Amino acid sequence: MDKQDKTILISPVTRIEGHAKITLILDDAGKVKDAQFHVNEFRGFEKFCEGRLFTEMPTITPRICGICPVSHSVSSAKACEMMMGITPTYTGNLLRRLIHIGQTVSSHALSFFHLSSPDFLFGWDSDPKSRNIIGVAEKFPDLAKRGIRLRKFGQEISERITGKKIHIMGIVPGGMSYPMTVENRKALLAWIPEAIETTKIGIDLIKKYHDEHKHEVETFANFESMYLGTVGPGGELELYDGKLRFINSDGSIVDDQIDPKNYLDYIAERSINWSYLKYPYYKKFGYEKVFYRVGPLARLNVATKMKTPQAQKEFLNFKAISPGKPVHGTFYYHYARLIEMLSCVEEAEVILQDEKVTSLNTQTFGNQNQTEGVGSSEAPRGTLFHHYITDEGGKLTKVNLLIATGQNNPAMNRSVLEVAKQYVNGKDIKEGALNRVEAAIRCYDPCLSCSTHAIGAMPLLIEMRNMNGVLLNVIQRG
Amino acid sequence: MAFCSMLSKEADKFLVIGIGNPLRADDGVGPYIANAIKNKQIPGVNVVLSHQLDIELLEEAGKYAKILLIDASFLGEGLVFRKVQAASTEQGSSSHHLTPEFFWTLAQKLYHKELSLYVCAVRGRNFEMGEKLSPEVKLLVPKALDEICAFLREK
Repeated sequence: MDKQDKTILISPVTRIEGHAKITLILDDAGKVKDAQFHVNEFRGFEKFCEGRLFTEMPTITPRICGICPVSHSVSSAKACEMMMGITPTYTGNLLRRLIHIGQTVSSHALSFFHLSSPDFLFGWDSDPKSRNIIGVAEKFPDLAKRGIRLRKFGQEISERITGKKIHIMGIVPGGMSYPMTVENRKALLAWIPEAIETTKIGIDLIKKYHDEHKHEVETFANFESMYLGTVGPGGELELYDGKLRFINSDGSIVDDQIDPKNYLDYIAERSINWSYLKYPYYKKFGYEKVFYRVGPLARLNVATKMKTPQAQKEFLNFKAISPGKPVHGTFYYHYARLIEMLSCVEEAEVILQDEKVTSLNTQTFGNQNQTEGVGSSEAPRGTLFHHYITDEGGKLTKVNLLIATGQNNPAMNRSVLEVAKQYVNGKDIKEGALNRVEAAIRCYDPCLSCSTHAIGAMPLLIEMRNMNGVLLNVIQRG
Repeated sequence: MAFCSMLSKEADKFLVIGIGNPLRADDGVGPYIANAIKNKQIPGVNVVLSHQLDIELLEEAGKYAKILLIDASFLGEGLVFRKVQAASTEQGSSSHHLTPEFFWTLAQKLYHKELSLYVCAVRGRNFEMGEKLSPEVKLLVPKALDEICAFLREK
């Protein structure tokens, strides 16, 4: 990147929320040589939280994101609990776990049914005017309604416990400040059969697509990487609370049962000159050798098993795609997301059947007794870390938030490159190819203040440059 | 509120949705006014508060004869009421929220309901961080309540 390029790409004018920008660099023959996925947004939470009391963080940080506020609140509360030396009550943990499940279901349902299903139902090259939620509503109204209700189920879990669908309150150090009523527990249990049925319909849909588009699915941004996810003591998928596991690109476990508080021993970040989003990497191997991925595909790759029977059955089908090795195809993020959703709904039923879920003993209390705390959880998009350091009075002096989308940044760049190499030839780019580039990013369901959550038309700017940085073409949408 | 007293006898299944973020000053005027209507406990009128007009409200909205969205606006002056028409499928919307037109169209496609949908746009002045309405908008609130109640009665 020369100075001129940087001036063009990181102009303050482009610091608008929700626009993805991609530069494709072509060689002399017009073939894609490199790709850069730019994130031009700057939020500043880490900086402006300095000086706040650490106990405020579980309330402040959910505002980072309207899609995964629960993961932020949970990670934040855990960091606070480490500083206070307390653990949540049994019921506090149950309720948090349940709300976290609700968020995951809501987010995954949005990703699959609202955003991605138009591609599967109408095809990559179909008319973009109908390749959206309106098109799905017209041609597949039952599926659209089911998708909406599944997302609603996830949100209703939050609403019935905390009174709010998004930006929930009530997750506090020591547990929950709200209990669950018997009436709400009963109402949520009544949703379970429908939620499971809809999730299975989604699984059938994606498997049918796999069968009918075998080559495309298997070659779509298929590249080797490491994976990071949270697992339970037996290696089972764990979203709310567990230990970290890294696997290598051949599937071998390189680090297991790592306490999240030691994450900095394993993960480092570096800055790049074309994006505000950093490039995290696995410390032991360095950034040049390999990068790791997080999120649904990573979690299923690192997990040994699932916790619930129906999800376990589907998990075995997932593992059969690449026996003994990780599933590297980026397209399989969708399938992994659906299996996780099935697991979540099944686990929600188990939690709701626990009599103690309506106990009033939801919170323990304590005071600060150390000045550093780390908390983590699996956000819908991947592993999330909150790391706080305070002064003796509890005021934050340093905040580090390691977000899932940031950890997937190297992989998103690589995915864009792979897809562009496959579908872009020369400086002109067809709508179908543009859609595939967008879809490669969408597999990760990234949260760039939700830039890729636009229905059917992610605001997208693609610049084509030659090896000398000369602009050849610009394609803009949204 | 004389109009609202009359409304309680006449209204039937009216849904009022107050849209906005109460932490962004005037952006919270929709929920603020909707909450005031809610506190009146008017029979036949249900109230929902929401940060944004999202897709999950569709199913609920389809159960009502009439729906009024109250939202802050960057444009116009004072209060502006309008009836919502269908959107073209090309009209964009995000997964976080829908435009009223997109909302209307989705209700038609999914639930075969032609919603009787109205918007009451309240001109906001300050959308920065803060839980208080600006003085200009605060002055508008009593007028807004009167006009909304009159609007509900007329409809």
